[in-house]
Amino acid sequence: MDKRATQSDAVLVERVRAGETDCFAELVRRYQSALVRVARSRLGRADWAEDVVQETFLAAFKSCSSYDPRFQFRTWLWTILFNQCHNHYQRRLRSVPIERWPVECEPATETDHEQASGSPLKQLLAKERTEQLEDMLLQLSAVQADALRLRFFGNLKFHEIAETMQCSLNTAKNRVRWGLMRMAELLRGAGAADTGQRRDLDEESEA
Amino acid sequence: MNCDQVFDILTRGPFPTGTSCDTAVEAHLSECPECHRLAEALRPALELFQEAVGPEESRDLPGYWCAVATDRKTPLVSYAENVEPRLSIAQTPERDSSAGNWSALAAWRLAAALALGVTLGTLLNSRGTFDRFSGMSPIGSGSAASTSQPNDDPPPKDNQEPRFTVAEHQILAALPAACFRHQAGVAPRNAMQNRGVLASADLGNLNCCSECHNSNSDIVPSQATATVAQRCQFCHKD
Repeated sequence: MDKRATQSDAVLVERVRAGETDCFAELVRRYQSALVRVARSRLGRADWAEDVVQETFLAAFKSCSSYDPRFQFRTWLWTILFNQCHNHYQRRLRSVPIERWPVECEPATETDHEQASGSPLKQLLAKERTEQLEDMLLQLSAVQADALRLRFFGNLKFHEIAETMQCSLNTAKNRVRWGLMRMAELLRGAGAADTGQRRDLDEESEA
Repeated sequence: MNCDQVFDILTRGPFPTGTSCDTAVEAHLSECPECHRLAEALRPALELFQEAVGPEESRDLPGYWCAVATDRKTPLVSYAENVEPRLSIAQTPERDSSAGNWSALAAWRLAAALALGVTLGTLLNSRGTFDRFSGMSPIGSGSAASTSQPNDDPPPKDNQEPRFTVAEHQILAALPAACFRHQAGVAPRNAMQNRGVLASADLGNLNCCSECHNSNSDIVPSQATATVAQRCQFCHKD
């Protein structure tokens, strides 16, 4: 096993700053898929997400010398990603109308856990759930959705979410909590609507 | 353990985690009705995240999975399956009001655990309450009763345990949660129990899947319809 894989982010960043630029590859390996996942969820397009993540790593690499080791590398990286997403979105907004790609057009990426899980059936199932999740996230407020993305896609702790989103710890927790509550509400609503529709159909067929 | 810590653990990943903190969380949930209610309220959303984000996708991230998953000795199973039976001994009035929802969710989680091969044996012994098919004869019973003439008599004992292959269980357990949300009271466990019934029944009367998944549907995308067709053909080869 590569020794670098067991080293902490802080050690790796320190080595990069000392001139061992190869160590940055390990940081990329660690965070790339989670960053792409969040960016794709935020921007709605896999190709843009990959561009943004590439820009994020490039910006992080360039700024390594100015990195303040008092802060965690990962929260710093997530902050850069969010800024890059915002910039990218603004750029696209000025150039072409933005719309979510239909799922059929999504290029396959290695970050999809369905890709790793094998059978076409499982891939389709995972895709269905991902679509449902993305639809739900779109119905939340932007800050709640971002907090949930950081918590579940990025696996950040609450204090890291607070640091990344530049808010208090309680605010970060509440964003996650109310975001989940709202999602649960939407899921229940969708379930109830379908049950009602089903009941109507049953009554019609009985009549 | 306080409410904040419990919230942190419940939103961190699948629960129970397989670590020593599980007992403390369970104890807290049984004592704190507010956290218990919150855990129940959040469950659908947490399930969706857990289904959509595979653990292999995030396992490489430092500081998250390593805290709970590296010494995982038991398979990943959910809160409902493991905590609920113990909590139900001391039911609170709040719990009573949501008992209906609970059973469907618990059944779904049970089926998910089955996909991991954990509860295969116990599921074979359980019985369903799927009203829609209550009038149909179990497979091999000799006659297929009409749906308009429900038969309340229990089926012969030798027919109570339909035999399924592991592959069949996996397919049935892999049905998306969305399908079961659409049908109150219907869960993969029921589907599996009734799978044997379906084989000898009048398939023309069974439209539970095709009702939503058909080419004219405007609520289910065509891709989902293709998925369901694939699954139906697993059992209904004709």
